[in-house]
Amino acid sequence: MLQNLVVMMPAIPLLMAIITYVYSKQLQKHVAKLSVLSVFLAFLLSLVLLYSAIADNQSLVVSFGEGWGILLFDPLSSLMSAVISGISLVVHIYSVRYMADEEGYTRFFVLLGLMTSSLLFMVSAGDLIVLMIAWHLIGVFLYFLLGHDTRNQASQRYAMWTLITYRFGDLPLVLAAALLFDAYGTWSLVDLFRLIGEDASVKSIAGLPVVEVSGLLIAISAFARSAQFLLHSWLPYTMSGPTPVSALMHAGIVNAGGFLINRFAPLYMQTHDVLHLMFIVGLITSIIGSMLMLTQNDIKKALGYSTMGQMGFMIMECGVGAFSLAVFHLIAHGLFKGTLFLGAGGVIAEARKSDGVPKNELYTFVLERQAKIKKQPWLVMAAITLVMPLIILVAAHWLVEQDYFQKQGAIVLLFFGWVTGAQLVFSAYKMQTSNPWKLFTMIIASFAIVVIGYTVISHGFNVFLYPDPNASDLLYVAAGVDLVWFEIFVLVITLAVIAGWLMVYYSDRTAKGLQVKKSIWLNFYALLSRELMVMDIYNWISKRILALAQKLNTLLRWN
Amino acid sequence: MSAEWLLVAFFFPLFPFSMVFMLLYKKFANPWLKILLVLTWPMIGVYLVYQMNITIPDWVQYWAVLTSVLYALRSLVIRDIEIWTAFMAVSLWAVFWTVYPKHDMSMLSQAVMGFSLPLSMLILLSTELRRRFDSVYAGLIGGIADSLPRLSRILVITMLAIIATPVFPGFFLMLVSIVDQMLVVPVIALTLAVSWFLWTWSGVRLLQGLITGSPHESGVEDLSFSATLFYGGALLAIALLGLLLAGELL
Repeated sequence: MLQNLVVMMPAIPLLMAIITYVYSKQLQKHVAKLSVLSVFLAFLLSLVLLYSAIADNQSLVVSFGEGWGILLFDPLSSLMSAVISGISLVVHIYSVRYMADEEGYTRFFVLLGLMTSSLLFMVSAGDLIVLMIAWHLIGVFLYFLLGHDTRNQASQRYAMWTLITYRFGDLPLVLAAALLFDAYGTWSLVDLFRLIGEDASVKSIAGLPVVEVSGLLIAISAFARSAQFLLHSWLPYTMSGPTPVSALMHAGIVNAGGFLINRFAPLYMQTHDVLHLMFIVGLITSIIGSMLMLTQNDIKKALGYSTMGQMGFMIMECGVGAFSLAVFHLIAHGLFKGTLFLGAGGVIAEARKSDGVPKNELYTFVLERQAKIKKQPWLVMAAITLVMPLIILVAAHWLVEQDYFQKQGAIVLLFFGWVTGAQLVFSAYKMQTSNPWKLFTMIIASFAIVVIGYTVISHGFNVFLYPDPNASDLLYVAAGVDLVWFEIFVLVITLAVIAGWLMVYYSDRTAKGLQVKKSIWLNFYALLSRELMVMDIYNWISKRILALAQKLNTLLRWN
Repeated sequence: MSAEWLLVAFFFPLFPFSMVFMLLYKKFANPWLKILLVLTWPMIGVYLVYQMNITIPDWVQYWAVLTSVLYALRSLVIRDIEIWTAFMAVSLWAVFWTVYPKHDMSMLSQAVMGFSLPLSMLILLSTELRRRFDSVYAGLIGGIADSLPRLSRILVITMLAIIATPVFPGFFLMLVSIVDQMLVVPVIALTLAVSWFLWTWSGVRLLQGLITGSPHESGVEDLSFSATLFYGGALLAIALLGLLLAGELL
């Protein structure tokens, strides 16, 4: 019974897309309703399967052939299926009216159905071939969805750029799959992970371990899909596509990198250096994404870079071994970013009537710039900034798992949590309100609620996705570094952050200001406003390649 | 070692022997002759390799993948669909040098067909375009997604089949070639991946010059329902061939 549901869930949107395409002339606008119905059914089935996964915590395998053609339903795929079909259902319903006046209404719903089906096949793939087919097709369908308006040159240009980046990212996955198949002789993910667990020392190119090389290749695929730095440039520019596609892309498709890394968690448990690379790439991406977001004057591009920053954080979580936390992050991010996109039109319409900003302390500070300056003792404020978030974070984690502090990855996450919390309190200090203690209490209370909620839920995710405590521990071990270096790293970064804050508190108090050359800031800002010139460099490279092709053709007389 | 394999280099084209195919292809004005050439040319290669039992040095594989990359790279700036088809044919067929040692003649023949059939379809589609616009030049024709929706959809899917998109045969063949080479000669696998990447780039560039933008001409007749059914059926058959091949190859 459940096996049938596993097959039906991704198949229903696919079949409906094909049927509605064939009969589009007869069905006309009813195509949308049927498309919504198919995704609604898929969503219901995914909920049944999720319930079954929570109740039994068993993996289901459905095989259609020898070697490949396998669907795997484990906690990860059941959770992701529910999220994807849920978000897709919302996007479908939203699109029924939103796209009503657009040309190619039927085509849009057919593509949306095909995309949903591909995403569901991707998360329920039980072998490398099905995974690669779905992975490739997502890029192709996204290209057509982003370029839905065939007359819009900008959307066509960036749809193509997205496809090119995706294809660049698809190929490492193919290479990794080939390597794994050559080494272990199976396409099945279940068998593959079992064999890797038994012997992870199989060597490949230049005597390097297969798991290490394939782990790196899979990570590159995930980087391209999740817009990590240097493979990110497609994301902020894809806003010319229809809003529902942006919502689906930011809420679902871009998260595929996090899913892929989690899918290959048994492989990453056996690696040594790949997770460190993930951490570094994720860290750089989150910092650069956030900086670029702050410098944008185009709100849609700012949202694009915000997603990039979040994806960086998600990959960074994988890099410290907190795989389940990355899944929680991608779901939470998907929900809030999807809401932002789908709500954008309504917010703009409302804002035309009224800005809707309550005239409270925040309003006075941000918009009217009429803050009442009532300075608090800087030393007291600095102490609160540094200590309060730490107490809350430690207490929250102590609550769910007492040996949490033995894991390096967990410490790194605590560190980031602490920096975030302290920055929050620090920002409150900078707001200089007339009643700072009330504001502080509220901020600290909100922070505590968020941290405790986040900790408890992520702990729940970990128990669900990685019920074997050894698996979770192995990931943390794989992400670990030499203890001495780790402590030095944490200490140096902590001191740098604390020194920065203290300097700002002190200079603010003494009104001396920070002594940094203005030209450095200006140049830095100019560089950021050019988006670090990444697109310029890519354009230059592609022009050179095309020029080379042109020269070769002329030289060889087009033969 | 005999140099008989050089004969094969004309039919599984290796640069510069590939120029012979290119010249012949351009010489044939009739689309049916072009199709005949595209379908039979690599089959002669298959016949030579297996029936004459020719021994081929290993290093030829490097030459083959470089030929594939060369033509894929050059196809990036081609705007004429018919010429693009010929460039892609050379780039795709060169891949067979990396596949043939591990597979029998019947399998290789099917695989060659898997590559050649979408190319033949594209030649047919280019005649449909020429009949309507007197040209098959991307940029000169434009916006057919709006003016000729049926033709543009068939064209898009055919292009996807050529650039080795799942579930068409090209995808599985590229996968098999990479699997065959990855542990033995990883450089070849990587070069094949580069070719694959360039096909996508090239195909999408060409497509964008044809289907997007505002229609350049109005009142042009779209594909008839029966022709659409024919082309659609052919594409479905090619996709099924891909799945069958995948079942046997993987």
